[in-house]
Amino acid sequence: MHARSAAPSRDPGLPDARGPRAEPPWSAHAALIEASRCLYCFNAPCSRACPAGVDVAEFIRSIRTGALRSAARLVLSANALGETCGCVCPTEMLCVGECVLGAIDGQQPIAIGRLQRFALHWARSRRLRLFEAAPPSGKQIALIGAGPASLACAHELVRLGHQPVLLECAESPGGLNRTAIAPHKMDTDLPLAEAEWLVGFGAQVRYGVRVGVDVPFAELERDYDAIFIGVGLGPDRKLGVPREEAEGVMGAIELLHRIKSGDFVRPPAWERVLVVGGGNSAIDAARTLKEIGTPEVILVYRRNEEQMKGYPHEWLAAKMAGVTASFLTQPVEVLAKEGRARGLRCIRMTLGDADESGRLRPVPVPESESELAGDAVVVAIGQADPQELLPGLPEDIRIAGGRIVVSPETGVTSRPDYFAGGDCTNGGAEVVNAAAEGLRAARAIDHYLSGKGN
Amino acid sequence: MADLSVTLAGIRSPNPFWLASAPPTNTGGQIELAFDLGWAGAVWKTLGHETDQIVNVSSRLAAIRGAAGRVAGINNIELISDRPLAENLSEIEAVKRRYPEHVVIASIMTGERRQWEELIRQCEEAGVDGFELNFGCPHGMCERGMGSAVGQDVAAIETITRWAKEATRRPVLVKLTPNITDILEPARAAARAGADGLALINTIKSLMGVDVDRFVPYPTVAGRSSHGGYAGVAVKPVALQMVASIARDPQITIPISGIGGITNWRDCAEFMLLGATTIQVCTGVMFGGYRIVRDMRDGLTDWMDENGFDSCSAFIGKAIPNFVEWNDLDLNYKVIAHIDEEKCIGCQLCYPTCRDGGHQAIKLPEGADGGHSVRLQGVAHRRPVVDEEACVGCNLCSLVCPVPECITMVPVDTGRAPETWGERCPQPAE
Ligand SMILES: Cc1cc2nc3c(=O)[nH]c(=O)nc-3n(C[C@H](O)[C@H](O)[C@H](O)COP(=O)(O)OP(=O)(O)OC[C@H]3O[C@@H](n4cnc5c(N)ncnc54)[C@H](O)[C@@H]3O)c2cc1C
Ligand SMILES: Cc1cc2nc3c(=O)[nH]c(=O)nc-3n(C[C@H](O)[C@H](O)[C@H](O)COP(=O)(O)O)c2cc1C
Ligand code: SF4
Repeated sequence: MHARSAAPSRDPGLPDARGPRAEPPWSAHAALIEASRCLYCFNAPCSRACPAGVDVAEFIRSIRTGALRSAARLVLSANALGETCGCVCPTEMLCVGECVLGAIDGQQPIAIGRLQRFALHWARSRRLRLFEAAPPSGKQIALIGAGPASLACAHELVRLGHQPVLLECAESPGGLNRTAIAPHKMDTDLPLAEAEWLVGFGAQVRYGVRVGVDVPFAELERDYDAIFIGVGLGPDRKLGVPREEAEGVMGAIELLHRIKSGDFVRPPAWERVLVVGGGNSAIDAARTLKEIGTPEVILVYRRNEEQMKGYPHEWLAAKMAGVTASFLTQPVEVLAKEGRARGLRCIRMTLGDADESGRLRPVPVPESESELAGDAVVVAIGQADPQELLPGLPEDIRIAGGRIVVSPETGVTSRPDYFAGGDCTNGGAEVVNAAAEGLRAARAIDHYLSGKGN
Repeated sequence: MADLSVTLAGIRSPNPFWLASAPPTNTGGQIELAFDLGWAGAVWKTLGHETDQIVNVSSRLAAIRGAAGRVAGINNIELISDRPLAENLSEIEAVKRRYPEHVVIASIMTGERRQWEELIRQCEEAGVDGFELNFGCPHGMCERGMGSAVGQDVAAIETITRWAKEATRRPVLVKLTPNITDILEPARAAARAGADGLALINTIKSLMGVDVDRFVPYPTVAGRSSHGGYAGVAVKPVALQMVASIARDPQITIPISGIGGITNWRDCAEFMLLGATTIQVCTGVMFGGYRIVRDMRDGLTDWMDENGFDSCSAFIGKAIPNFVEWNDLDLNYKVIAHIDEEKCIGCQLCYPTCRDGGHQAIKLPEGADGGHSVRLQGVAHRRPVVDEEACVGCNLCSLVCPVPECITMVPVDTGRAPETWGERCPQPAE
């Protein structure tokens, strides 16, 4: 794990090594003005669009009236990661995208993320405890991983009177929230501060423990009343092409993590960097590369712009930051010289019929190979399956298509004492989904434990 | 271009815009600036007799806020002018000398007849165009038997108005307090006593709020507070009702200077349509500065031009015939709410409003909470519908709707001839 270093001093004229600073939280007055614009719709569409079911209209109403504890409590009781979500949720595709104010001429949708972030920052900076825990049950639950899913699960378990114990292989909590999410969205220190606040309500954490390696599953089953799996997905997936081990080829998460840790200095030779992929991670990596001063960043994607999996608003922002793209282009080989990457050999693609997801399938155009020069290659084509993270996972826990199979209502796995949530069950979604699934599993665990106790 | 000049009680004013007696008319320097910026008249901050001791406290103002934190109304616990009378008088003289065409009215308030007479003589010598007797201040002065203590006592109004009328030949306006049950009583008393005009309203007795951390009402003076006088946008409806009631009263024929919550040209037009000849502004200027008169002047002129009014007299009082008693309203007229499908944004605010505070006439569409997405499917599936049988036409939903002209009230034919309550149940003649 990379050591956390102090933020390098920031010269406003120079691109920052850790990427741009995210915008600071709003003042109470700014929040009040924005909250006053809200209509507090009946049956509010924004609330219905929130995967965690945050009662958006009501928490904004409470900001408006100055009942800030109540505002923070409303968010937190549905989404423990509400503050980071306020920064990183793709709200355009969720709550904000539903805001009916956008339909009134001359009006803008409410900046719901900013308001949510304001309410929780207000509560966290005062170190408020906004709930009363149920009487202690004496039950202990092991949570594997200390990413968003486990943190949300632990927060709810504490509220319900149980004792969560998080087992995390890294040296600090937060998961991808801490390591991968682009620095322009959220201050690098926030996930840690948020996690510490949440854990402080009564969870225990053990760092540097890799379950399945340092602690066998059998031991967990013996020592705990239930187990929650929140391990996310594995490391960056590889392209599977020749010479991928060349220097200058790395995964998007690896790159983002190094940038966010502050131990990455862009090599001067990186004049032109190729980013392979068309999803949000590829867009984030490309935009961040631009923001730390890379002169040329090219997205290499095998389908076309319309078929990109990344959100249109994110891609637009990346283009505005100067990222360009080579569409319908599939890498077939890393080009290297003396062990250092110098580009990609690619083949042209064309679009065929729709695949299962409804997107058009890319088909190679014969005899269309060409070389694309680049001083480094960043691979952003997804993460490895969670199975790799969990050596020795009991065989009766069903995994299908690289996901741990759970009941959508409860998060229970094919074994009644094992629950799971987050990226390892949904195949990689957003922080808010992980938080919602963690909370859902906590309630199911509570139900399971009370049934078992009788 | 329309002519904005008016004449009230013989006082010619280049336009109808006057500053009310209050902080904006505290000093000659302020008033000269205001005249330069377009105000035609100023009612000087109320002067007391030189022997009246006036001391003001600090702080003095508190506010109630509306949407986005904008101030809707203020209350104040300020008394009349606390500056030496001699200073005020010499400034009045200087202003009148420099601005002979502008109107300067002395607002006055004191106790004994001899004091009223002396004060009137001194102001007259300074050159004022007329007087406004302040029978309105609802705090501080009334506890000494002045201000609203006079305004609430019909006999006192008559007596003091007579004293003033006997002491001067310049026009005497009486400024009324709204802190009474029926505004016609003090208005008629003043008219009977020979007042040349009425000015209203003064501030409304009020308590603005409480500091919930320190348990002290606002505005706070060393850990305590007192009731004050309410003014600003929020009091406009109270003022309009009083102005209009006086304007349509056959027993009162003297002109009115309308005051209360005026901040823009439209407010001016409304007060004048309901019978005011001039308008006076205090809070609007305290928050927006004298410069707000630019909008008043241009807006009123354009509106007059558009409506073909070449002078103010062409429209002053024009809405009064349409301001009648409830008994004279047509019981067989009916409107119902109509939601414009194109304009509706699907906020559904009209639904709980009619369900809980209306007449249960708005229905949600089938499957409205079926998980549709506004972003992906648009708002069509969220549009409420009006049950036209159940709608009583109260207007509530159209007031709650955030989209301009989305919910409109549409007249429907009831098939019945117009009929008022008065016609249905005639009162036996007395
Ligand atoms: C580049 C990138 C950008 C993203 N941007 C956004 C964004 O802008 N907005 C958004 O909402 N989401 C974003 N996401 C997605 C979001 O980060 C994840 O959905 C979320 O972090 C999932 O949480 P989780 O708890 O399921 O898993 P993770 O965050 O992956 O956390 C899992 C934790 O488990 C630990 N762990 C794994 N195996 C073991 C083991 N055997 N023993 C102990 N501990 C273990 C890991 O160290 C890690 O701390 C992004 C993801 C990526 C990759
Ligand atoms: C701070 C303050 C001081 C006032 N002082 C006086 C005064 O000395 N004499 C007076 O007749 N009215 C006084 N008034 C009342 C105003 O002249 C006016 O009648 C009232 O504020 C309503 O008008 P508005 O809504 O434009 O403010 C005062 C009002 C305020 C807010
Ligand atoms: S006008 Fe009144 S009764 Fe009719 S629909 Fe609207 S709120 Fe309901």
